[in-house]
Amino acid sequence: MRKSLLALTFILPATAVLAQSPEDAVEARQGYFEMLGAQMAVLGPMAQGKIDFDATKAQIAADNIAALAKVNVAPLFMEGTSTDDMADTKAKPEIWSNMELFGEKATAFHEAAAEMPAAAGSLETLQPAVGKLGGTCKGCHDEFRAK
Amino acid sequence: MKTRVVKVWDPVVRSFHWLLVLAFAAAWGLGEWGPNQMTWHFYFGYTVGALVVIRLIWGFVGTRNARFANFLYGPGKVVDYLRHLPDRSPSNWVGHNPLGGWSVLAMLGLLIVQVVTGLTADPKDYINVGPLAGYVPESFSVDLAPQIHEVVSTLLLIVVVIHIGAIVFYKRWKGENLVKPMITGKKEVEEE
Repeated sequence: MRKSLLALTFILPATAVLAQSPEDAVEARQGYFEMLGAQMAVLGPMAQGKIDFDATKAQIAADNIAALAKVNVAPLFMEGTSTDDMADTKAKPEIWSNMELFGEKATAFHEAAAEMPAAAGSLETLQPAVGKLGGTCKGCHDEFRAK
Repeated sequence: MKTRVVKVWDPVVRSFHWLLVLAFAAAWGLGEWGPNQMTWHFYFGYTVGALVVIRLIWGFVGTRNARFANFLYGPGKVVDYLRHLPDRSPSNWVGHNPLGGWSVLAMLGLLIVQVVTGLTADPKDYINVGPLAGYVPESFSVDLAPQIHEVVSTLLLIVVVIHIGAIVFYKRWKGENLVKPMITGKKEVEEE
């Protein structure tokens, strides 16, 4: 578990550094959100009672979210990779024209993600934490993710 | 001028109308300005869906003026009605007029699209996933459904504005109160 997390924190920045072409950046970016999504795919349904609560699985997903939130994704959002520039992305140009708001949305996500590990122990604490975390997904998608 | 009072709208139609006003306004407002956790938007959306289903059934088995067969007129009648629309006199129409009938169908159609795309949308935030999103292809739930839901929300707003505009037009221009019949069920029309 610790090993895999450790590997994760190394691999991701490495990918980011390697992302030189816009296509690479978009691919890495989408990979990053896929990884976030994979954790949320465990936590969301658990919090909503669609699947049974499993403390071990919840803890892994919560720890992964917190770790992923620590990744500096700035290189993944390289200039010239918005929906204006490329077909295969949903990143709106507003990300770059309104970096300040984008940063606020990112901070909200970071804060909610940081609370996840401590909240994963019981369903009662997990539910509001997932609600808050998912809310930060929506909050950013509304502004910066093309439909 | 002699007038008589006729029953136009049965209690089902009236209840449907005003409950729809409440549920739609709540769902629309919550969708636009509500909290990121959209639980209440979902509940009001379900309510809209249930109301529309009831209205569709009532459109086949309900009272005379509620049935689709009786208020969806052919193009000739619609054109005829449109010709008299600018007149500064009440239409005295009992039930949905030839123009209003089609607008009812348009509104119901848009609401059906909105409810279906809401139920199947997956906006990828993992907390506001439509309950039926898992039963449709991902290309639909992730891309198409949220897109359509967004566009139709605007279309519905436009339709509501037109609807209210028409009510005001009938009152101010034609001197015909269409709100009262929707509350009391009764309409005062001029004798032939």
